Amino acid sequence: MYLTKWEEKALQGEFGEAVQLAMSVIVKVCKALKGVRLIEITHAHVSGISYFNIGEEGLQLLEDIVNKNAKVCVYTTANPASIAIVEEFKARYSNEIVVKQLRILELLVTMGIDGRSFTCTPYKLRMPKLGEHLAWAESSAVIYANSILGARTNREGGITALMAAITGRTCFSGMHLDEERSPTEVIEVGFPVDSVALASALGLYIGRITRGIPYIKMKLKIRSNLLNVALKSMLSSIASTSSLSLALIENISPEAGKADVKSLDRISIDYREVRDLIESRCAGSLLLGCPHVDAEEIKELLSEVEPKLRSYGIERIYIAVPISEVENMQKFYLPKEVRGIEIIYLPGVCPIVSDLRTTGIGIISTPHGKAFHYLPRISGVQACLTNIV
Amino acid sequence: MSNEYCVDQEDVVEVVEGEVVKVSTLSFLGDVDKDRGVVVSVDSGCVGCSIAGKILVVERFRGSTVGTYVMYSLCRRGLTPKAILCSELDPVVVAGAALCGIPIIYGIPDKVLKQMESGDKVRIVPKGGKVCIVLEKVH
Repeated sequence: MYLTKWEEKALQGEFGEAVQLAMSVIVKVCKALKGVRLIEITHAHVSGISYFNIGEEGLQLLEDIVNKNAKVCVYTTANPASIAIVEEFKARYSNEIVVKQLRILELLVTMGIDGRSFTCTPYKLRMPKLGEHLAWAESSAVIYANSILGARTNREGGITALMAAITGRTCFSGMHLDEERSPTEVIEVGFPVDSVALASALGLYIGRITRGIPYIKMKLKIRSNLLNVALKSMLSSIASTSSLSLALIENISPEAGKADVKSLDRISIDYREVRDLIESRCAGSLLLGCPHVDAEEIKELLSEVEPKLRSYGIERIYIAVPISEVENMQKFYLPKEVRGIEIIYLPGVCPIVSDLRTTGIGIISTPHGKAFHYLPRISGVQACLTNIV
Repeated sequence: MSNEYCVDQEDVVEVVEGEVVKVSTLSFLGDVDKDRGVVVSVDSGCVGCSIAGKILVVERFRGSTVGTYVMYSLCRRGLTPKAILCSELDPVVVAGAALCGIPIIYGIPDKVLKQMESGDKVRIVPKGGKVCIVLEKVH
């Protein structure tokens, strides 16, 4: 494997113990991925922030790295934390969990990670440009960056993304290479995608059937203000049921235009194949914001769901948002309730990376496929995919 | 009986010797008790085996990225294996091994891994750009 002079020096410990450790992890992982060299990155995004996910071991590792004086050397954002630190839920968790979750955030900020991030939509804080090299963990952000922005990132692990942040480099392999970004099959969607829930169901389905990089032909019949919510939901759903980092969407992905798809296998998807995933009225708690939504998107989502809330039996709405959107939310006068139904905003956190069994929320309705997929697997609660929006 | 197999690998610098613990499939998250360093999954083929201080031979890795943190926890408690032998590398395990300074020897053909059984003795010897594994069967 080729290393630059700086990288060799880093590996030999010339820039301190933390950089040496980080470089050694990056180099060894890169050898495992059969990479021939490293690539400098402009933005790292770290996952593994929830105390429920990384536990005592993760916290210990972060403490040790900070003790070695680790600092990120490129712009770095981090994933949402668990909901244990949100005022409404604090009392449902032991003090130990709340304190340790807050300590994780503190350690990340000490290393230089943007304290206004803690979101699964890091592209809202800093929009990467076409062709830019990134080291992002968080599968939904990775597939969005590659597919919608044309930036380049593999699905990094939480640790390797942090090590990439400390060294400013990652392995030059996979999604960073031109030849790994070509579609391998064409997926023709035989029905108009007219809701966020349908985009989610389609994404979950595509993730299950696809074997390579799909080139997706579909008609989106969604009003422009909700288009990005639908795309985020679809792509994050694909990334939930597959390990895909890239899906080329015709007329949307910047690299779709130059793709040669004539000789590729074609797969048609019929409405009947995805509709069974979707329900209408199913549970009283509605979760919006998976991936996180911004203030404008919240406004659009609320205006869409408002007339349906009563008939869908919704009793409470949870909306996950980036911390950086809190100011905007005030500017947009976002309501605390709608038609007498309480809205609880969840800034900088994510229900999916939280143990929800102690919260008393039994079943969650959501139009987002990623939440639907992971809530029962990680959070210990039932979920249903509702077509409320 | 004793036999030797070598792979091209430069990052192993010291001779490592130990007793084999062989598992068919392993995720550090879920399949290993992090407090005791013991394999707990039934389908591993070596349930109850301690990996601490052993040469861990893994036919196939599986599972979550949280595995890296579990490995780190094991090494903080001194419960990691001395070395890991496998065919296909898993980035999650590689990251954990790099954090802990555990040598991983990879690219070993399945038929060579199949010859190794728990209880066998293995000597891992760096030889100028190669690493050689000397297996001493006990049965």
